[in-house]
Amino acid sequence: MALPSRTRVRSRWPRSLRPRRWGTITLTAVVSRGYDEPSPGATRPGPGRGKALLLPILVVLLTGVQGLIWTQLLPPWYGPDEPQHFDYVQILAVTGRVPSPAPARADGRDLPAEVSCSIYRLGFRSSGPFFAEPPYLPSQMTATCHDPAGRGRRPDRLTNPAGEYGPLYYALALPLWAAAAGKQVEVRLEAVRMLGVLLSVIATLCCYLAAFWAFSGRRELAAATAVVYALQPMASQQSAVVSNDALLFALAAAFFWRLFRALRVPPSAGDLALMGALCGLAFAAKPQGALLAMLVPLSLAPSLHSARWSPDALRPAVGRLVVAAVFALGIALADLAVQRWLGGTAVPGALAGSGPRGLHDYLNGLTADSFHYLYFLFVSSFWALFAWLTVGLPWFVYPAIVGVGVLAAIGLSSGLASRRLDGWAIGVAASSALVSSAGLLALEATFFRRTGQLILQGRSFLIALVPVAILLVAGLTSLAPTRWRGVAAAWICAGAASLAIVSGFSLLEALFA
Amino acid sequence: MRRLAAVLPLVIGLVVLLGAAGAHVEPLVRGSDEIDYTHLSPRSLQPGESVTQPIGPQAPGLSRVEFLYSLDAASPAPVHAVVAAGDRVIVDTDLLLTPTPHPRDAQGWFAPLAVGGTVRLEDIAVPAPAANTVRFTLSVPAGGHAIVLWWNPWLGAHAYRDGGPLPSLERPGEHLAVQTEYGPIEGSLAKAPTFADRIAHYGAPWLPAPVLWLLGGALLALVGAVMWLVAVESGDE
Repeated sequence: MALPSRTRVRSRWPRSLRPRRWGTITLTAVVSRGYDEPSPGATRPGPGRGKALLLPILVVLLTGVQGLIWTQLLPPWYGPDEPQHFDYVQILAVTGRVPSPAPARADGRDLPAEVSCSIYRLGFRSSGPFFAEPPYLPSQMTATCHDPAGRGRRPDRLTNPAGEYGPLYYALALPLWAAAAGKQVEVRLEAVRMLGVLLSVIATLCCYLAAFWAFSGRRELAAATAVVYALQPMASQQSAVVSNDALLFALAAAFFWRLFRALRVPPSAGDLALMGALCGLAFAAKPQGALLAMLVPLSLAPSLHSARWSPDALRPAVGRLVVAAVFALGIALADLAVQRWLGGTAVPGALAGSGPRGLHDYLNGLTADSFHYLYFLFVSSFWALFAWLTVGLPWFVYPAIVGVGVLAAIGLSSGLASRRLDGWAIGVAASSALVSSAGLLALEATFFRRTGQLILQGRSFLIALVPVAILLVAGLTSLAPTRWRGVAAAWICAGAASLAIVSGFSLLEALFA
Repeated sequence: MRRLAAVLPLVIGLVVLLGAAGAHVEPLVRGSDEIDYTHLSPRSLQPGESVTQPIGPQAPGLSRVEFLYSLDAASPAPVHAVVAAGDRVIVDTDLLLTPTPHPRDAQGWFAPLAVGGTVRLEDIAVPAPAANTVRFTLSVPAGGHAIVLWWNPWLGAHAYRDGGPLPSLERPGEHLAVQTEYGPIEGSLAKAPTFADRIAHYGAPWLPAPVLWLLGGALLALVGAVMWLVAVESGDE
């Protein structure tokens, strides 16, 4: 389906969806599109506003429920880098300053005594062997590390590997930490974990909205995309533990909502300002959030294309890009300034310096052992490798995931060739996934030149989960006959749920058996 | 018809998963700190050779012993296993080990777990539980195929017994990667209340075990409702 021209957009789309003064559209107006206008090809009037809201409400509830379950499937401290992230929150709460960035100390003096005690009691060794199971023998279940006087809450050394991150996520966690301030350390940790659940709900709602625009208002496809996103196992884990990944995912999902909306509604200066602000906030959440800024020009491509790239259209477009850049840079600089003011150092460490290793060495590392590292990045650790990379799924699940991806790719190709799929939406989704992935690999290459280490994991690429989910749903549903596309979307939901349930069973087997 | 077809995979999938969970048996509790998965070293056990690893049970009711192995062969290979407590032989059995892909490097340990099952835990039921130290002996018969066993240089604190972990007889500085399990062996579904209690013990106090059951049921109901509505939505097109 070709994207309507700019003039046709204004006349075809209902009044509630036309750009307002600041280019914003209310949530209710978006999700109740069927209330104003029947979907293309419909033979009956669209459903009412209540019915139109039911699907996204159920998807949001599903996200919240499964988020709460995931917070319990991982024992305290079993989330990646969770001790360090929690310590950052606690240092901010107890001292009012952020920790200085430094590698984890072998002597453990950069962790509070109560955290070290709890970690040891639960069988996790931060400076030694890690055994992927807490102890369940009766003698080990009764001791606590409660420190009513609070003396053990501050580490000897106020350094932390997470110290290079800005304080935005950790500041958002402060009210939750404060609500459990008088409780034992594991309860405080669980309280802070609730922030991730809330952020995952916001992220899923934004994913639904992004897919709604990408699929031209087809709610069933938007819901299927949101379910794939919400139930993605690695994203579920990162949103269920104390980690700034949760905030990054939420901001990225909001960004993609605005990006895919721009396919249908020409973005105004206010829209670009919002996108720039989301990029700046994503950088504040985690530095690789800045990669989203490379995707901002995609929002202008459809309207420029319909205007045939005329100078009259290019000039305001460049102006809007400048607006986006100003907002992005402004927020990023503000974050660095706040971090500096709170006693931290504001330089992301991965980008500085050069070393003896070249691009050829890096590419050898990527492709060695039959592309083993790329398989680790984009298959096993992107989809399901939990609890510090020690709990995986039955091995045959990963090739099955690859198979589903291949099917989706075939569906995308055939759908584009037969024009059943919207080329702009698929192009923006594919470009988003590829550009952000390439950006992450480029960052790793600069780090590799200095240290010779490959540092990425699959969860780093979850910033692009919204476009990946859109591509999966678009590709798989386009393989089905038109009358059965809704059934195909339902089966995709079943597949996502099955993967989530198998992941839950694997965690139960590994950590609670 | 299409709506029923929409929710059918979820129902079938649940039946399959619950069936698999019910068929999967395991004891009540697993020993702690017995295998360090980040510091494993491979050693080949050749035909005619044997290894003996003393094990100090961490709880009463030892019911299963598992050892970590790899087997680079085209067909299953026989080994002989003995579990003895003092002079009393508790288990004396032949096992047929399933082949596994050969692991490349113990440093890349995370990859074999995720990529292809390059190592396996083979379990041996212990019918007559022993409270004191037992000896686990594994040998490859003279005409058999060499297997790879995995070794740790140390164990974790929870594996202590009477002054320290027990090294193997053949390699005094190392411990054979052996996992012990205790309590009655039953289906995973029967163990579900135990899972819920353990999760609730270490989890948030506002999510006790009954709430976890409710959340699980709510998740399944919500997924089913979304699938049904998705199929209904498509019927409006």
